[in-house]
Amino acid sequence: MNATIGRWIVFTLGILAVGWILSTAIKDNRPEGDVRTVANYKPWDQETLDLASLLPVQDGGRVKPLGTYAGFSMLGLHGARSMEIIGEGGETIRIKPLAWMLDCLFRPELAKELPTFRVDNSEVLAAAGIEVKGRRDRYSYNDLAGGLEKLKQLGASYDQINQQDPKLLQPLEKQTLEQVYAIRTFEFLVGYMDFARNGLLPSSASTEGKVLPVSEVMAAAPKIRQEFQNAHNGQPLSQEVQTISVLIEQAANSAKFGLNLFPPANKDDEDWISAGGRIFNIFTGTTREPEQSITDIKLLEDLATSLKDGEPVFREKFKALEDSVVVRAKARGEYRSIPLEADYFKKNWFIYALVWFLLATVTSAVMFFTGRSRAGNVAYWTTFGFLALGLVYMVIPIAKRSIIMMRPPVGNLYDTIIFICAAMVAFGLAVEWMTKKRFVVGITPIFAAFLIVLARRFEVFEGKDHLDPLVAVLRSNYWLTIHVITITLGYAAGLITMLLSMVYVLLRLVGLDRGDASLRRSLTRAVYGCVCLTLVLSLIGTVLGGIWANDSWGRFWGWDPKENGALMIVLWSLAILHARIGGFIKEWGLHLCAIFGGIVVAFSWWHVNFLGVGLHNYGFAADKMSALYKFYGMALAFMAIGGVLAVKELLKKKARGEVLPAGNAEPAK
Amino acid sequence: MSPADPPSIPVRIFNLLSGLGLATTLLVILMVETWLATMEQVDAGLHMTLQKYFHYSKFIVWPDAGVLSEDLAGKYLPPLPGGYWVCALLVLNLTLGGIVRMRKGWKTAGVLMAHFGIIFMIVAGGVAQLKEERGVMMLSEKENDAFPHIADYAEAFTETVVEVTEVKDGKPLGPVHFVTDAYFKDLEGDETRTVRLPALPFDLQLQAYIQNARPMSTASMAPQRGEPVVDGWFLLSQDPNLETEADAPGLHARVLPRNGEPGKVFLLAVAERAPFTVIADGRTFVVSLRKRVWPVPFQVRLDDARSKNHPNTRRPKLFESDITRIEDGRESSVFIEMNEPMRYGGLTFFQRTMMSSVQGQDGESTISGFEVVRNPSDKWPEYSIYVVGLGLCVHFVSKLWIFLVRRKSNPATQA
Repeated sequence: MNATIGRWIVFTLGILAVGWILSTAIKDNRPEGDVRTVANYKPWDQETLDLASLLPVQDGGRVKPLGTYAGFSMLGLHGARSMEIIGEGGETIRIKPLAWMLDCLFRPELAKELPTFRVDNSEVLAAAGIEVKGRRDRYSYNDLAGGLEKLKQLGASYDQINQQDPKLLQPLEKQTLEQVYAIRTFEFLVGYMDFARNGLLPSSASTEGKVLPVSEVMAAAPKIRQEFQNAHNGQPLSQEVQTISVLIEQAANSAKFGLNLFPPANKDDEDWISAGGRIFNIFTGTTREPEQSITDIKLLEDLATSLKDGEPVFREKFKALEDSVVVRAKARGEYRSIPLEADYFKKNWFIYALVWFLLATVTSAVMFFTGRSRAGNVAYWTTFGFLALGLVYMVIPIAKRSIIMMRPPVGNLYDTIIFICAAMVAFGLAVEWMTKKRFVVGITPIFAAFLIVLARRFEVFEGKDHLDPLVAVLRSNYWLTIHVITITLGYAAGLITMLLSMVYVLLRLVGLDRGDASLRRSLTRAVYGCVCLTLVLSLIGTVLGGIWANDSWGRFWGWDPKENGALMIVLWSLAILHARIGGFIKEWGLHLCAIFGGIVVAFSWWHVNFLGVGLHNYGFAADKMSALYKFYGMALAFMAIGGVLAVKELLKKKARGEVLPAGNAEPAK
Repeated sequence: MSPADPPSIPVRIFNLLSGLGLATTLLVILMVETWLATMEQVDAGLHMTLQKYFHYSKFIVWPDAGVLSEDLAGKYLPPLPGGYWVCALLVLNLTLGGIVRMRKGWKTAGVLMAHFGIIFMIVAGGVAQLKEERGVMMLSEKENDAFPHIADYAEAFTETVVEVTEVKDGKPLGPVHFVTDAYFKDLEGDETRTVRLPALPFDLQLQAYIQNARPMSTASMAPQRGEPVVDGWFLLSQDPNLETEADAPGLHARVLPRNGEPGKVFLLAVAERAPFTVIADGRTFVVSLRKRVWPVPFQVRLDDARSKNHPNTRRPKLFESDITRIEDGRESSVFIEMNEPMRYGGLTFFQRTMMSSVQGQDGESTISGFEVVRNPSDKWPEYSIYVVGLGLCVHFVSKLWIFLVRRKSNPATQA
């Protein structure tokens, strides 16, 4: 094929890839359906949001900023970290997680109007008699109100099936159950401050219209407990106390789940306490700090009722609450990473990295198009620069995550995606430095961009905080560092090897190499080197994993699917190297095998998680496998194209009598 | 012999066994078998899959075509050689080709080291498969609880034995006689096997082994498959669990007294703790089926078991136990936790499980379970990876160095 046509093809492919990734990223962040109008919605002041972002709360086993809690709560319910509405005065407003969280807690009537719920299958709502829009759309709590009871009934029955065996649930039933969980989470949030806003209204007080603040009732807790004690000893219990105890229980229950706001005074107690917990504990007499409990609840009451006096007053009360909590968190040594984490999520590092990689993809397309001209050189160095910048924007947040978690950077599947992305770019740049052939910098950015999109989609799919603490068996920084990082680098090396071989197939297909054998050989050497690197990292990582497993579970090898996947990478890399040394595969064979190696890596990295067995089982639904099959399909397509080209070349060589018999050893380069 | 002469048959065999072709083929077969075993364990369970693919008794395996598509389940893919023997052949190939036949020199030093390390690693795996013993020791912090406070034995996960013990005045008398499951695991249907017990006044005839059995009263359920009914009870055959250690095997047995009169059939089940009583020659014996118990050469006492979740979650944060090892009256305090086992006297104790003796409560753990392993090759893989890692690093770093030096002296053209 003519090299110029080839360049056009590569340029077009590059632009198409950028277009696809951009459209995916934009689609992921755009709301489905029409933009909702919430006529009386007024956005929060930035000052309020900045203040709220640093309030520490305990969730998911660790202390984190309210902003992180809000972000993952919103992600879990809404499927995105922002929503767009038309608010007061017809103004388009983009609501971010913290603003949404403050709405839920302090302006529940407005929060119920917001399109919080992402519904991927409208049949879920139709089954409950709720009026539906498109198949996928977003709904507010009030939109669902008509069918809520029915939906909850369905959820309760499906929950029973789920507890027997989750595999028995039909997809629609599973989606219904998830929807009910999401509604319940939202109800906990909007109901959390009810007690603080509304107080208690016992019958005796209702005649006077007097609302009793919960904190005042808490101050009377010893007397109330005494009355119960007396009742236990046979004395009659007053109607007033009976009513108050019921109301207190309701108030405490509404604020019991979700936000654990208050650090305990005793440093040995690791569990922070929710507002509901504070209320319960004082009435059950199970708190060591009754005074502090009352003060904390009073702070919340002051805060919840201050909004009617304007946001400056609200901020003042919020600051009082935050200062009180921060002092205690600091005394416990649990405030260390709060500002860093708030900053980490605020900066959106990976989005910037995505932008750099997309820019690198565009300039690399220009580079392919312009060849070795002056413009081509400029495009090459620009691509190199963007790629390096992208790497910097990957490494910084990964380092920050490590500092926040106080552990090595890879501890869960999300971590592996961003780490592999950074490692692939680093390997790509290293290969480029060694080979100076440009093609690596040409194809690396698009795959790096793809991995960032994958990471974002995975985050949305899971809807949970991936800075989570490690389970008991993984709590070993030594092993996490040397085993997990090594094996993850092995995945990255396997994927960059596949990319190089795809470049080779593409080169040969569109004739970009112009028949330059030295160029091909150079690429082949790079692939050979990367197979060696994959082998070293995967083998050492796998065996170190075995040694760790031997220390943890008493067996070196447990045939866990994840272990098996890593072993498959090792065996395949060894097979490639031995076949090459034995002369059973040559240039084409090496590249086709390297592409297949990418399939083996994908199987080990992702596919095993779908199997539903083993210690690395993440409980993924099989319907999420389509992306993986697309990846397999793409790799197989490259292999098929390469296979056809290889056969054609072989036939040509045969015709010229240049073919050596198989098994003629060729020295390793 | 002139260079043109064809090599002799022994040389050809040597070349074949030490060749790169065989190495490549074996590596590919092993990879395919690893993949198949990974996929098959989803439905067949791990233990069954490993027995099928990697047990030394399996020379040929027939992969289930169901791994490709559910519609093909029950059909077979083309057969493959058994994984154990593929590994054995690979060791031979590596030894002959990767060490004996390979050129020795500085350039090949790294590869030689790597080959040696891998041989050592595979041998470690083989030794573990043949010699490893594995069991569980459950201990309680309290006396007279569901589990012992002090123990000097471990219970095997999957192996069962028929135990025959003489009793007098409710106490065991003399040695325990046992029949390992190698003598009855293969008994299906009406097939019987007589086990001679010369030291006892009777023999045992065993039949109809069931991998996962539950004693069932005929009052609650009638036998569906013609299972023998004994005193209103029969052994209901249940589907084996994916985790074989969760299975509770059952067996039918008959006492054969020396006088030649056949005794009646009785039921033995792991799930049924009460043994069957036999009276012969005026002596009383109890016969039971249970998981094999093997002795530990010292006593272990559980002093404290601790488990903790991450705050406000059910995510486990730590499992750890304080134990006392008692040997010849000497006591030693030992701390065991996840990732920190106790290695002593050729045995390794791993923290395996933890629970509270008060059922249904999330309270403080009082029972700790240790996985007890006797594996002579326990640390061999660790030593081997140091050798392999060093060898591969030496080899590939030197290759990279040569590549970089060549590139400098002979810069390549750019695209």
